[in-house]
Amino acid sequence: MLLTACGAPALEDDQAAAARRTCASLRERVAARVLDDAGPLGLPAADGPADADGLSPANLRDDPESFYALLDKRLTDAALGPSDEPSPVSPASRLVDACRSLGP
Amino acid sequence: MTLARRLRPLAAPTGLVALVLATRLPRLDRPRVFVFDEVYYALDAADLLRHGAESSPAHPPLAKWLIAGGIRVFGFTPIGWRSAALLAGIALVLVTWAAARRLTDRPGLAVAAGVLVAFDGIAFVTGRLALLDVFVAVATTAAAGCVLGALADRDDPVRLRRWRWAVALLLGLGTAMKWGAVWTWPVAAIVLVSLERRAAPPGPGRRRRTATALAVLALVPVGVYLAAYGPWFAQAERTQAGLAHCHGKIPCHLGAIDRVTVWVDHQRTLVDFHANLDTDNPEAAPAWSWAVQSDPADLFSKLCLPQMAEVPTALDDGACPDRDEATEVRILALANPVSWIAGILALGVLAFLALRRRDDAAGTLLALAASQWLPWMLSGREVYSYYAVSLVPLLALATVLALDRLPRVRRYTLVPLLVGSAAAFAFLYPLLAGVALTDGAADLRLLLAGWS
Repeated sequence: MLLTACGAPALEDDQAAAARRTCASLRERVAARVLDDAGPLGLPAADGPADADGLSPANLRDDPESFYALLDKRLTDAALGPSDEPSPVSPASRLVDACRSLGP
Repeated sequence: MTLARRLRPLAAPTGLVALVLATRLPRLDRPRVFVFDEVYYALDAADLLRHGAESSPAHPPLAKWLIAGGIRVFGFTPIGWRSAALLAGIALVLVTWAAARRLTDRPGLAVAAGVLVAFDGIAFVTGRLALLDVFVAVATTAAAGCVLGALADRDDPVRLRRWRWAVALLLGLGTAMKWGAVWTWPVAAIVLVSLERRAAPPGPGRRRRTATALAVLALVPVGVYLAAYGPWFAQAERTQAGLAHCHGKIPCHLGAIDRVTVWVDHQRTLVDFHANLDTDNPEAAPAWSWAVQSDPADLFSKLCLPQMAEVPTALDDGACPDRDEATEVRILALANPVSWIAGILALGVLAFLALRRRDDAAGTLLALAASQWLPWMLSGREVYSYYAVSLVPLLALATVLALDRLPRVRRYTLVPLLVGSAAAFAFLYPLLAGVALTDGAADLRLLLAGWS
């Protein structure tokens, strides 16, 4: 309370930036793990809906620049900043939901 | 008295602080993302700073206020949300050293206890992340140290009273951080009340002293716990429980009675949450597996591919090195195998000392260690390996107490134990600090199947 009374620093932008990095990290970790599990020959030929998406592991492997450009765009569209109004949903739950909204 | 002589008592704690800082400060800001439950506690702490209350917390607020203090000083950066844990990790080493001073007359053994905690992997990992457990460990270890202090001062009623107040205060603080601290309470209460009873002459005076001791040990922690919720009471309408009371209507206005009702509802929600916690998280492992460290929680795991060098700076978690070959980054909540095994063996020695030699300190320390382990085995809820951070200092204390009581064993094992702990820590350091390893280097270190 004392800390709050002393005047909280402007956290909103930093929170949103940390949330963006966390979502991006989760996304690329999942993609890299899929690539690793697929073995040295790469992903199976029948790719399924996830691979049609620009955030697919195959896109990270073959065209990382477009993978990250799309990830950046998706994260810009996702609401990752803290809410000013009281909310029954915690900031962490909002972040998890926003990360999930990035797609498979 | 010369200056050198006057400063000598500071040498041990200063050296321990330097050791912790030297090992934990480097790469404290990596990865630059929320690691494991940091996503809850760092964001909850920011909520505390902004609003004075978290919207839907799963634990009491005190440790998150401490994390908020770091964010207040350093901003919402990895250093900001981890700096309080770093300080708590230093405090944990120091309170272990101070407690060991109560157990043994040998200053070298007390320093050894601090060194064993400094080189422990779970203490290291939790002392560098914005998790709550290292804060709780400081409170429970300090309380354990005070109980051991009371044993040593059993014939001094004034000091006995001070120890009792300190224990009550520390357990209140610990419980206001995470409920796990409460398991130390029964052991502390039994030991302290027994000491008070023995110290008082028979008659009404003894009954009064016993009742007073029990009242302090029961009421002070409750008072501290409630005080930690002071800001929460002031901002109850911003919480999930408060909004539910207002049926989601904003602005939500709550009277004093409403706030108490909402708080009780919130505590009931916490009980339900912890009683039924079952998220199927693959990192959870039963507490009995702590004995052999067979399944440590993998708090961060990343395969770094050369393609990931393309990541824009704003999205970069800073975990991967700039290399042409694939590497792997891990953060495992894994105890130091050398000091952990020594600690488990020491518990057996303490049992022997307590039963055969009626060694009070050994029996008390054994009971305190059991209080931070057995409840997790029996609880039936999800448990993570890093909860053992409250057990680590007690195992270090058990080790030095056993070595204190067994001089022949001490002569041959103390130095190898310290050297072995340091070597094991250095060997496992990349897996604790999130340093990228090549496949071969990682395989070399992932000694058990459950570590992979």
